[in-house]
Amino acid sequence: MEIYTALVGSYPRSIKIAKIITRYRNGNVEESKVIEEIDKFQKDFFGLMEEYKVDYVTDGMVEWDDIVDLTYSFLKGVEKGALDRFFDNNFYYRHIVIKSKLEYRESNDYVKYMELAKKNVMKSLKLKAVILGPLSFTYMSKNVHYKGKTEDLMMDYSYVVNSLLKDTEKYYDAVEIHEPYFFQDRVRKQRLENLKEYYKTMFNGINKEKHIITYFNIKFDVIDDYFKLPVDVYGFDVTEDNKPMIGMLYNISKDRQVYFGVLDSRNTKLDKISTIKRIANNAKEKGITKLILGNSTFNDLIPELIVKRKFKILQRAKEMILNG
Amino acid sequence: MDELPILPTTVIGSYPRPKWLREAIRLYHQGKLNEQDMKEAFNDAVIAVLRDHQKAGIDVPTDGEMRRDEMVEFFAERLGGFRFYGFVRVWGDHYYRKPSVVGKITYKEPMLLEEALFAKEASYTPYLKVTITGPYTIAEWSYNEYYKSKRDLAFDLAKVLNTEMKKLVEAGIKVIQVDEPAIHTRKDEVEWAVEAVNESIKGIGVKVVMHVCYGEYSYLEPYLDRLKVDQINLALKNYNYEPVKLFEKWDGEIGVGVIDVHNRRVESPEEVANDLRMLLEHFKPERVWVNPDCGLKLLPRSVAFQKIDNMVKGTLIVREELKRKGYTTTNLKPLFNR
Repeated sequence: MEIYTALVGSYPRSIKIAKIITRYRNGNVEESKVIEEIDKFQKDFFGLMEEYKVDYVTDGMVEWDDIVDLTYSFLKGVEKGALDRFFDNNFYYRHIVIKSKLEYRESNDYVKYMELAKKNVMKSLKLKAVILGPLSFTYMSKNVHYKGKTEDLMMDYSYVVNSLLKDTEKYYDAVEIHEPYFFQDRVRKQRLENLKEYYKTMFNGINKEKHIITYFNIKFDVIDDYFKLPVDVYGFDVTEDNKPMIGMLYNISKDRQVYFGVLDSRNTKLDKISTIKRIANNAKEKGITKLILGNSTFNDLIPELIVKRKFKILQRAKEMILNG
Repeated sequence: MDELPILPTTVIGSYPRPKWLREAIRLYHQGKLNEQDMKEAFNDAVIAVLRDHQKAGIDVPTDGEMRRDEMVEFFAERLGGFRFYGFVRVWGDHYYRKPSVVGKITYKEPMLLEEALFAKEASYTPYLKVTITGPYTIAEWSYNEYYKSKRDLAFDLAKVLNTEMKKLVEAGIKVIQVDEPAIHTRKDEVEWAVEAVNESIKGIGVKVVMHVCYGEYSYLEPYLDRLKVDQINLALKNYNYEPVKLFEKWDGEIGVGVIDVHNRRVESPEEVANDLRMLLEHFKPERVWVNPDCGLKLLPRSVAFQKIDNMVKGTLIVREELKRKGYTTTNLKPLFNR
């Protein structure tokens, strides 16, 4: 079994960067000041990830308020809406209001920041492009234009993402698709069954590794549909209430490549090396071909100090696993 | 008997800190302002806030929570069992120091008494409201490293908050508001969250209000009849009053949010009056209090003032109409024996 570590989603955005972005949006500083700060952050962040021997990384996502804000940068036909709670967390994002047909915004900020990340990332790290999946985008936006035609919305979004992934392909090594709504009760099974078609459109012509990431919930009654999605690595949050489900996950993940979010990104309590080791050993025994270990959800939900401690633990765990 | 005019007006709690206070806090954190001067600045700010409330005509004011940076952080700093590791983001560029529970929750010393006594003395009315963050919200908005379950944590918090509330009652505070903005976060936890709130207000013989805002109110609805608070106040304007029906079966008083605090547009008195007339089709006048949706602290002070000023003006229009129907006053007597 191959074993790797990853940072999924975001790294905590410093107050300094948040204030500079606000000042830029209010027209009080030049964009160059924001780029300068992000550039500095990325150099430190990638350095830290290299120190912790993390294999797959994002750019830390500090240039975006949240995963929805990121989509705003490359979509035409949308506006920023009101604040919504991010699942059951004390964290809020602005939903996207879809005012007209979704189209790709040429020369957007997403491309600019991917280019910057590619410039700063060390060769030992595999850089991932982070994208919100079409299903979750639908649930995290307010659909004014498409009305009842959600399928059209998802298809148009998938086409736009495909353009973006093609535009940025030279900068990233893998794609990290976030689909937290896949395991939510409110999503109809029929919609999950159809999702693979949108994924085919989204990844058409993209020859890079594709990782799908989910968090907070796992639902076994729709897991077959999950495994039908045309991606390489299937992600699961195995912290909190999902801990007891990991036994079933081993059994159904035989011969697959999986991502397990083993670092609890919603609690400051430090994760145990022994637990991580046990998970890796069981995964190997059950025939998982490739295992990537990392954080369970966005790291914004815990203080930076704790994120660092958790990744140090992951580094030690990986070393112990590799050394038998 | 403590009487208030029909449709009493109040605020939820927080009010924008004056710019000079923010500057004083900055200097204090840099070590350039001493403890005594900082305390004086906080006191002066409370007087300024109460003056704004008085000018607007608020019947039941607060001290604007001038001393509190954040509603969970403030209490976690003063109770035993908490530890801070750093800031976490709530959205955009808004952060708070989310505390971690690393030991058993203990009561160390009064947390609100000094500020409540100062505000009481400075207040233009004896009907001052003091706000306190509820046990479920503190538990939900903290990291739990110590307790076996969040429920155990919430019930220990309820005990220490109850101690604090009893001290406020002894000090002569007539209205206490338990802030529970997180109570409806998780459907499967609301039932025991309500019990935790009841535990926190056990033996409290003054008017007790619970503030709830933003989220899935339908999660709370099945447990309304178990709540022992006299009043629930709610964010409603932001939802265009859609959740109103959920609360029709509630026997207690209802504080209706008629001011959207997430929007800088100032509601006109006529708009407030029209909204109130609609709300009175759902609730009996003697059960209704009038308030903004939530705390006003994120608005510019001038906007916050205009909003509460118009809220009172709109209420006065409807109050006059009610007087003609024989409704004149309501009283502060608790509805429940706790």
